[in-house]
Amino acid sequence: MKNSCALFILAAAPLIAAGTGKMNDAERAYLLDQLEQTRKNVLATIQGLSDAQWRCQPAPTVWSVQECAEHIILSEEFLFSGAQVALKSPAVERPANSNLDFDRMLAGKIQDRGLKFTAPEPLVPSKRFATPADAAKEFALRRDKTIAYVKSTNDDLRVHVGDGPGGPMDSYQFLVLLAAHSARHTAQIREVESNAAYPKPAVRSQFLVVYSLAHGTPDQITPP
Amino acid sequence: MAKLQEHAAYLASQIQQGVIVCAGRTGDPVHPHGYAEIEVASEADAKTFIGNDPAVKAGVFECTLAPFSEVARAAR
Repeated sequence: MKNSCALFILAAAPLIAAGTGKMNDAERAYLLDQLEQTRKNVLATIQGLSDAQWRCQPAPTVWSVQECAEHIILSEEFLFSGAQVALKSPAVERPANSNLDFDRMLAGKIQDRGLKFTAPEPLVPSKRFATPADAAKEFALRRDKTIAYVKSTNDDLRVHVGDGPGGPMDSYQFLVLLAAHSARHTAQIREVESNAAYPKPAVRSQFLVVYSLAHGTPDQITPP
Repeated sequence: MAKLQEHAAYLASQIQQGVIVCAGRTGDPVHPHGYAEIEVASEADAKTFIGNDPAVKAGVFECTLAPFSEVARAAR
């Protein structure tokens, strides 16, 4: 809690007027890049894990990959909702910290695994995704919804402020937090995977499957 | 046509599960072939992968299976 207060202390600085509340092109590009990159990394870290790897809990107080992934997924909806709730608050003058420099610092702090936070109760995992594929599907669905929103929205994300984990944040920063949060827990998954107790990957063999039509020609199975 | 859509959905699910490394098909309009490079624990699993394909089950496609070694991959 101490750390999270320190993390967001700057966000409570006095507000200043700073133009429009919409994302500019650079802000949209930065956020989309963060969302796309972290999407790719989350999926890569859980793809193809065995059941033993998925459920391996190296120590009683350490989350398994299954639990980390669930926490990421639950947080997607939670933080996106945070951005939307903030948007419903009355517009303010654009806060001084609503700029890319602060956003990058915020993202960096969130990803700092040296800083410890306690997950709020709704985000505590309960092993609800039985397989990595189930989790990957759900994560991709939720993240793609966020990406689609960021690509198209003209909402005044910069002039609506809500209560973030450690202080006030504008709606845009909730989405920066969403991406950075998934990166933070992707790093946590990698920590689990590098633990000595984590099952070693099974030896896998490659095969080439060649498909051909059993009967007829393509136009008999494909409409003209 | 429905079986082809199920086939496509099946391949997509297998990509997501890390079974398919890459897949594609030739552009020959008369005798097209599809290819899938897969990574599984055993030949039995490879046969299961084929056997679970809805289009194979329905008799639309027949498949051959061969051990494969990827020797090069372009960085993209």
